[in-house]
Amino acid sequence: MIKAMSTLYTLTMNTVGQFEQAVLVALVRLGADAYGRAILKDVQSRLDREVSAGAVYATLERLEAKGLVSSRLAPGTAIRGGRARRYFAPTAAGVQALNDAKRASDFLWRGLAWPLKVRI
Amino acid sequence: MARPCLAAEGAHMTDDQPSPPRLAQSLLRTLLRPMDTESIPGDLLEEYREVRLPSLRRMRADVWYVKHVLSMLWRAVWPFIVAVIALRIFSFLLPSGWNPSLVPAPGVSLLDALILLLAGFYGAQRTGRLSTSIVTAGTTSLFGFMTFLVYAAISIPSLLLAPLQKPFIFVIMSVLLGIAIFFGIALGLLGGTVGQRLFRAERETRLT
Repeated sequence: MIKAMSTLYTLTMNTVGQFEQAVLVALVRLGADAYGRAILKDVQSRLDREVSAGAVYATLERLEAKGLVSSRLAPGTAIRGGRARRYFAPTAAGVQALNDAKRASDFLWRGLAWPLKVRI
Repeated sequence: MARPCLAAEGAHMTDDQPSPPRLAQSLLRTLLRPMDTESIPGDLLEEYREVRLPSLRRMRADVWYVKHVLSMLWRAVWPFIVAVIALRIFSFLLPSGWNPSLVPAPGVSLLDALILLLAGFYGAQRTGRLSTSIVTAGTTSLFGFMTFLVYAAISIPSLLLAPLQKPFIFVIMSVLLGIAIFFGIALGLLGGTVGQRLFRAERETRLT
């Protein structure tokens, strides 16, 4: 019991928030095409709601500060007025954090049948 | 090393396609860290030109762009706006005197000054620009004043109609708003000066 609680505590303390997970998952899914606009669209479609650019860029900035994401600049296209694109990729620590988040979620749900039945 | 080359490349490209409102573009540039001043406006411009303009009318596409720029502004100022609203609520609940006014006008108190200093400091420390301090502190000050107006309208509903009966009240309110915004900008600049120095110091440390 204590071991299980300790594992759960360790896993939950190291996990990233739900929105951070959505952004990290978008980076994994988009691979080499993960730049701001593509990430915003992917997160919007996955969460099935309108997401503001401010929320996504702030999250990317936070993840980069935590060392979970790295970025590089690449030349822009004419439609962007030649402005550079910033491509993002999860670091090894980012992938680890994502794995930990998934493990923590699975751990929480262990032993429960899903979907839960409502007892009235 | 790559950034200056890319910036120069971008600057030389001719750009005669429709663009979002200039004011919104300037506001966006003001809020961004130097490393993001190309990529984030580029992302929004790409979406604006490739998707929003063809599917929406020009005005709605502009609204879409402005909405996203405001979301960036909100991200930069929300802690200070929350602080100033909390301060206003406490000011109404607690007996007067705990937060002395510096001038007989709303939003010009000692704790307001502290919040505005922090807003200015944070803005410049993040981007290295005093213009960011002006925007963050000015916006915070504006919200502080609006909170005061909302409270006044709730507590004395007849105040809502007063400006219609006596238009001179509009002049008084404009002067009070002007004082609050001037106060915000002045303290934002003060905090921003310190923040800018720290930004430079941090950048130099990174370079060395």
